[in-house]
Amino acid sequence: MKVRFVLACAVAGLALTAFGAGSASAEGDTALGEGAVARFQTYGQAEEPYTAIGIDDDVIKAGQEVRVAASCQTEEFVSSKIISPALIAPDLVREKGAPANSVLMSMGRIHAEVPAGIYPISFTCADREVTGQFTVVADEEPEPRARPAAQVPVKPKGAPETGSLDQAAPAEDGNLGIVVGAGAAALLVAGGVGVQAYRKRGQF
Amino acid sequence: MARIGAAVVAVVLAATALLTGCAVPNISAPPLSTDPTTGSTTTSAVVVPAEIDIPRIGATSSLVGLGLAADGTVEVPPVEAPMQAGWFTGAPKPGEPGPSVVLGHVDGGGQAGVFARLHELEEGDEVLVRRSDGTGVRFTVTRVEQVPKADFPTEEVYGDTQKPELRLITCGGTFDRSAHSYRENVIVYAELA
Repeated sequence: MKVRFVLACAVAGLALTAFGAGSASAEGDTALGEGAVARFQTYGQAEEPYTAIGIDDDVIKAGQEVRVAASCQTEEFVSSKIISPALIAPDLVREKGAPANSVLMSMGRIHAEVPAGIYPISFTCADREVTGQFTVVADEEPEPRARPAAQVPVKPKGAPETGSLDQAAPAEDGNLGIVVGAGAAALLVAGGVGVQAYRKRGQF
Repeated sequence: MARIGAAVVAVVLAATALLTGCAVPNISAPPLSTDPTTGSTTTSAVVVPAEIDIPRIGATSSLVGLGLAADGTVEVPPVEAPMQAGWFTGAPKPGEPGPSVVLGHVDGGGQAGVFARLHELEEGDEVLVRRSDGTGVRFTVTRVEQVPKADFPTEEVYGDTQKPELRLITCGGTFDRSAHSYRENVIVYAELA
């Protein structure tokens, strides 16, 4: 009878039990690395020979390199292909002389274009297919880049009023010169009239 | 007789001043307002644009700081002193990346303004801005345009630029006597030389 073991827990003991070491194999601890045994999620079979397969990574994303961990506790096991529609990984191979309860490892990579979702992963142990699953999560949306402040943070409204105060003197295209000239002539005339008046007054 | 001579001299001087448009020569006025972006007033410790010189049209003026008026429009130099130009303190300083803006009157009270001949500028003309620390920035005119005030190109004038640029703005076009205002603006665009 197949029993599903979920080892995504923080209790190392549970993970070790799931790997069927029974006596908490020291090799299993070493093979996965400290803390690693508690991280990955795998599915296995409690009956002899104990089998399990899973991925030892907290978060799995498209294109990511992952560590496939498996157990096939029989002396007969030599190697097996890893089958999954979402990743590619070299065969699981038991090193020569390694005990039957040692953890089998293979470094693989999730396909770059794989969408988020749950995917199966399997290998063959003692002529039986051992299947687990793992979850690929979507890439988080990149943080939007802070928009740089505008070089003119507060743009003035409307158009600048750069002229006038009237006196009917448009300066466009030389008109100003004419108008100013007329004004100056008027001043000169006024001055002349003043001088004339002064002279006349002096005559009396 | 001496009084007659003095009166004639005064009249001639006044007329000369009007004809040359130099009734109010360069003024070293203090900033007109606070910086709208920082709220701080321009001080002598900060390097600010101090003077503008446009050789081709003989326009030279000290520069006063101009902020935003209460209605959100850009302040302009006192129209009673039409030969005075000013720089918009809410924009980058000349030489900094972005659009620096210098404003001057085309006229004021019947007198020619510092930018009376701004529309004569052409591509390639030189504009010099001297800073308060004595350093200077040289710009080259890239284009001159005259636009109706109703269509003032705010984004083009005040929008971000990759490099240090300069805008010179004054009034132009026909004069609307009922509105006591010119109908257009002359805008000169210049880039760091």
